[in-house]
Amino acid sequence: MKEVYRKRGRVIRREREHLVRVSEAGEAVDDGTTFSVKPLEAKHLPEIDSTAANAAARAIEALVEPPLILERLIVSEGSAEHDCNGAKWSENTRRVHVAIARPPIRAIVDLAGFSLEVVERVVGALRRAGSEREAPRHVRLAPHVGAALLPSLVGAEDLEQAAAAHDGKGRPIERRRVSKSQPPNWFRPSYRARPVRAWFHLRAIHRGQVDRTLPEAIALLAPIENRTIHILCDDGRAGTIDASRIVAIAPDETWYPYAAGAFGAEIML
Amino acid sequence: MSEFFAMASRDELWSRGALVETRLTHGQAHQSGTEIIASDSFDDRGLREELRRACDAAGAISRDIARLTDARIRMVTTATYGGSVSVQTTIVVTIADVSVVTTPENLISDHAALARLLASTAARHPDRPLPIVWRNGSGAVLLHEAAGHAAEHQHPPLSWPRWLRARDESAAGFADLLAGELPRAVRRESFRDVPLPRMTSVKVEQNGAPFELPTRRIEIHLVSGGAYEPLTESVTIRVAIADLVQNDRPKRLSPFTIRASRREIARALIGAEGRPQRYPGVICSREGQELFVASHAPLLVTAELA
Repeated sequence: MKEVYRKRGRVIRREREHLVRVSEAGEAVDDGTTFSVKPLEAKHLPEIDSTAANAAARAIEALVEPPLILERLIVSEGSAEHDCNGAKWSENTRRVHVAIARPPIRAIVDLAGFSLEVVERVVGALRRAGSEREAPRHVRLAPHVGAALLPSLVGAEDLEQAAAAHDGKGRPIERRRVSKSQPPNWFRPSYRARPVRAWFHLRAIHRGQVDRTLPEAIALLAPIENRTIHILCDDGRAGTIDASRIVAIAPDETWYPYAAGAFGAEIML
Repeated sequence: MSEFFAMASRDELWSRGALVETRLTHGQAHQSGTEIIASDSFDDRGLREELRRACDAAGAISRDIARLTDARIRMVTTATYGGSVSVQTTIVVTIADVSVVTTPENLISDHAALARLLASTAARHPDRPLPIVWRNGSGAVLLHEAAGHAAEHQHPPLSWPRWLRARDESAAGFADLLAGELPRAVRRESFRDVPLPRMTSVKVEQNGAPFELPTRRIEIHLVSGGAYEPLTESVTIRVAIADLVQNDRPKRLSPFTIRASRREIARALIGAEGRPQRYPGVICSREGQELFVASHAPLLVTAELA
């Protein structure tokens, strides 16, 4: 069956010193053979007030002082209206992506809101950090770090897909256990991207007891690859740790923009 | 004063001779100071049509692409306006997960060259580092990472061989990358992006370089990727196709990775020969923006790199 998806969107993006205001609308048609995308002549959505994004960006810039370097800062706020074969929905998003360096290490933080408590903690840890050295053998990943790990745990750890109203084709996302089999929902990060099957809003399932006396890993120093993670601990220690042996997990309710979404998870390794 | 930029782009993905994805994008951006207002609606519809027509005319080689049934092909034609219209088409040809980046005029010959390179069977990587001969213009990728990105990050220049020259060339002028000069051109992937000083065409040349082929050496033909880590000034080159050559007999190596600091690379450059040769392909990614960078280099020789 031919599938027609239309999107109208507006976003403001604070990217270092630049403020970018983007307004666009587009259509994606999948006729079963070819996926075709083109811009649409459509009425633009209302302007987005940049006050909150600018304030968040300025607050992060003020936090980062030498010897720390603010390598990358993207703060955005957007609104979008979707229509997929008649199913209509809308959404508002906020995102923060920040990379703060203290050579030779770099901490990366991704958030879905403008609360900057996590960034403040990471800045504090980087001030205490020297060079990358032996990480503690046992750590607990802070919930926002654990969330980044969840997509790589599909099929290896008990996870749940949390319910939500719409996937990338406008279909409901049902709460269900995540398995190795084909995900039932479709992820469409942009109207220009062909949708792919994905598990949405991953949520870890509580098990064991997290030892809160262990050092806490509060930032990633590189994207996760093969469950090897490079971490920064709150005491300033930084290094590499194998995340394949999980001792305990405590889920939390904050959502993070990893893959098709993941909720926070405090994970004891 | 407001600066104006507009673009149209047609992006097609072909698999085994069939068109599977096609994307048309167009839009404009007004920049005033640090604020950019970008939209896919045009103030001037005539300009929009001109850019779309320029895209369609430059990318009209679908019959050639449809004949290449052993490959996955992505063709992106972009027409940009910043005072005048310019058009660029880049084509990524992938066979067995190995890619070259080419242009419409070189598509057929580069496809054939890739198929020839893939005909050999893979062997193991040699146990220890060996001198490297960078063939096929691939040395441009090494200098793109070690000198070009270092210049973009304003890292201080190093002591490079006196016979070596590496410049970035663009309509905005030349930049001496070995002297740490920032690329002159300001580029962006789309109307939604912040323009940045980026490389356009890296040209490596030699003048009176020493040259001697090591008897036991690695000869690199194609790389699959490269990266420059600004915090440690280190370079990573992922080699897709290379041969181990001993007594003039080549034996294909499996893909491997080279990691070295830019200082080690500057020290390791021990020779070069000939005129710059076009290397088929660098798609450079920085700040999330992917841009084609033309690349030319003579045959380069480096001492052992890890």
